[in-house]
Amino acid sequence: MIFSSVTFLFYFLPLFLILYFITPFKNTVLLIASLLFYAWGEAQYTLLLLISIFFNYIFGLLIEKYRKQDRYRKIMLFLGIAINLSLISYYKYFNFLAEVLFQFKPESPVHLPLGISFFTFQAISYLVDVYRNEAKVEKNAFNLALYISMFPQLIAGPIVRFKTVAEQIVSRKHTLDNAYLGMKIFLIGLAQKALIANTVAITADKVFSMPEATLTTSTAWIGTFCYSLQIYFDFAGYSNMAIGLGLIMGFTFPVNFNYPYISQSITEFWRRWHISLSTWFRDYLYIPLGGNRVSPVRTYVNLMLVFLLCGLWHGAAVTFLIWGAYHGFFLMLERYKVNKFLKKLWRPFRHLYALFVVMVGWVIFRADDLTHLKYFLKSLFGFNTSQQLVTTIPLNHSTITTLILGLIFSLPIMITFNKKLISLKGNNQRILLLSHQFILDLFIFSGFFLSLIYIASGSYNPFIYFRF
Amino acid sequence: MLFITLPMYRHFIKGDKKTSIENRLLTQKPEIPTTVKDFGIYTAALDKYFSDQFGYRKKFITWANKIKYYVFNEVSSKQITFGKNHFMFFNSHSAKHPDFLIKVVCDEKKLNQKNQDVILKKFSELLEYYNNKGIIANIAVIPTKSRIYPEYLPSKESHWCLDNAPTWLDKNIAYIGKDKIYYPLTQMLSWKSQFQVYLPKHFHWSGKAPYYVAEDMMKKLWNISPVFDVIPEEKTVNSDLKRFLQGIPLKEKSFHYNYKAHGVKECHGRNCVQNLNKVYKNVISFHFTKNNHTNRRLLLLSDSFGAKIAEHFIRGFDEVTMVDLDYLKKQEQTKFYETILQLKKPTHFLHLIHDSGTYNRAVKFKNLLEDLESEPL
Repeated sequence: MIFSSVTFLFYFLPLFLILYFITPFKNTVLLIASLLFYAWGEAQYTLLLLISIFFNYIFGLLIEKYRKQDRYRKIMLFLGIAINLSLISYYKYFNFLAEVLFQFKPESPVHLPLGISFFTFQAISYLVDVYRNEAKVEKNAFNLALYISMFPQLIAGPIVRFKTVAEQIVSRKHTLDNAYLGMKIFLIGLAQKALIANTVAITADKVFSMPEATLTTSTAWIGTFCYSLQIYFDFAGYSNMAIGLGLIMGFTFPVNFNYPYISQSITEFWRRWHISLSTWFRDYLYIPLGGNRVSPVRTYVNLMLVFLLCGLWHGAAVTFLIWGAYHGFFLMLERYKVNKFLKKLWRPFRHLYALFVVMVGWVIFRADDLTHLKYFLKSLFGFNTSQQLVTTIPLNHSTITTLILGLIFSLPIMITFNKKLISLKGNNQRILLLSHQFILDLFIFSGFFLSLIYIASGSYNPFIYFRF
Repeated sequence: MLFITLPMYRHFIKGDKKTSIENRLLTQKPEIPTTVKDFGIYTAALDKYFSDQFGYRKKFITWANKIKYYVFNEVSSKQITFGKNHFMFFNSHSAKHPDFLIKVVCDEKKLNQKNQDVILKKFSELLEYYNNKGIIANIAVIPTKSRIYPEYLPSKESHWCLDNAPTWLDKNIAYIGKDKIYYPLTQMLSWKSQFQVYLPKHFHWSGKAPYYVAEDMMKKLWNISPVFDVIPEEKTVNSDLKRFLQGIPLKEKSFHYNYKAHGVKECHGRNCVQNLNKVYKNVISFHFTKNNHTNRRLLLLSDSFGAKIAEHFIRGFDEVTMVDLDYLKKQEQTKFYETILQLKKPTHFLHLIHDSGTYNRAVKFKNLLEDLESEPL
């Protein structure tokens, strides 16, 4: 079940919210709804999720039990992490490793359970935080189950740390202000996904499925631009829907995307893109490896290793590894000397540099395989075999409008405008702020209405052969 | 948030619907699974059920269509290509294979040699079957809008059709003989400067084109001159593509020929040919009669393109019977072909299809003729 589906929007969510708010057993309703949400798409793997919860619960208790025996404490931590990593390794990487290492393609490939990358990382963060005394062990299995399986962030993040929500699981406030804010964030996320991401995805998919002979340079760039917007609005949209739902229920989830396309360096990009994942890797891998407190060479090795694993986390394919290495390389470069040079550059050039690197990175991320990547990159830089120079992909009006809107909304225009209004002095400030808020709310609700229309119209499927 | 509960309330209050403008049965409530293994199938079926049954669905679809059409000049349906000058092209009978129809008729999707041979062979055999029964038999293949107005296709599609190069059909007509297969591409292209051969927002022909094609066909195939002429009257008609754009009023001006005023008796529907529905359950037929003293009776078996041309043949015949074959089941074929000949005793037989239907029709013929061949002629 995805958030932007008819089933979720018109049936699951209304029923859930009604039950959630009318009963005093809110956590019970939330847990049951979360397990049902997961079972909807992965019935046979719900048991796996429950087993994962169980193991992490036990290991959390064991880590706490051996608080004063550091050796056993460490063993429990490593065992707990090992079990989590074994799960994700088997389900996510078995097919890939079999093919790459043993040239063997399994007859019945191992199925990848939904959200396994997210809930195992969440579980690992819980165990490590308990070990580091940054979070109290959760002795109530029910509460831990709720933390790991909570449906808003179960299948696509953000990766929430236990310490962020531990208190809120036990006692949280449900206020009208939070519900209203949460609802608006949810609606923004829905519009990002349904209106922008889904529209540009059509063109992106067309371009990325074009054979080498028809892929012109301009078409390749159009496809790259579309995909850059698609991946951002898809992911950010989903995160916002999760954050919004969390807020409605009294949970404060961390912001996951902070206008990454305004970044002026790759270093900055990773502080704005998928923040919950980048901070996870920073806190649970990069820093334990020594971070930047070791020698420069070792720091570069750490950076590269982290980003190789980050690439692999995204998918079991060589292209994801290359993408991770690509970003790791630029991060190393910026750390080495490029940053000093970048700081001297005129700001728009810094933006262009960061955007260019990121967009080319998305091509690596999106490519089906190495052959596809090779010819797409060739086309991107004008070395394609296509005889035509002009674009071969027609863009309809709605796509062009969406691209423009996508470009505008990837910038923090509203926030900047709001800040300017707040800084105004005088009698008109309040009126202007209220008017601005009203217009913004109207805009959000219009976007919501349009999103519903587009999602609902996707169900239209006429059968042609009858009196025709 | 109250707003999103409304579709669910409406669904539960109004109950499930069986059909809609989409011309298909809407997904009904799936059965509750008895095993855990079936749960996955159940949830997928529930998704389809909810997608078909949620409240205000028709309204949402209408609004989406209106926004796309009026704001962006686009259509939601994958089966419609929105071309230049507000021309709309029906591009495929199946949403799973968009553009199939346009590609086939413009030779972008070429039929392989084996299939071409089957089509031509089966056309010949069908004509021979009727000739052996003493009936003058012919086939008509009608070019669709993409062949007549390729300049109004959008860039990608017009690229396939604009050079008007001969397709496999053009090249192979000679194999059967121009006196046997009527293919009015040249004539219809020449008429573009005189009148609208295909209406911008229609798939099927209507108005003047079928009138003139019928007249031309009678002359060229059977040397028949029309006994009377009919003056057309202008009339506003609904587009046949309306079902793909729910909520958009697609109307156009066309021409209507009032044959009743000339003493023609007409019948449209299931019971125009007595007892035919006993051998062809879902029969749709038209029947026209007028005593023109010609002693000629035409049997027209066609696809959906026959509906608009059938009446015009009454200008050269005493009786015209048109039967739409699209709903004829395989097991009904043999009995149907025997029965219709016994019932109508035609002097002339015409099988009419549109150009993209040739392959499909030949497959049906292949099955039919294999059955018929076992019968003594």
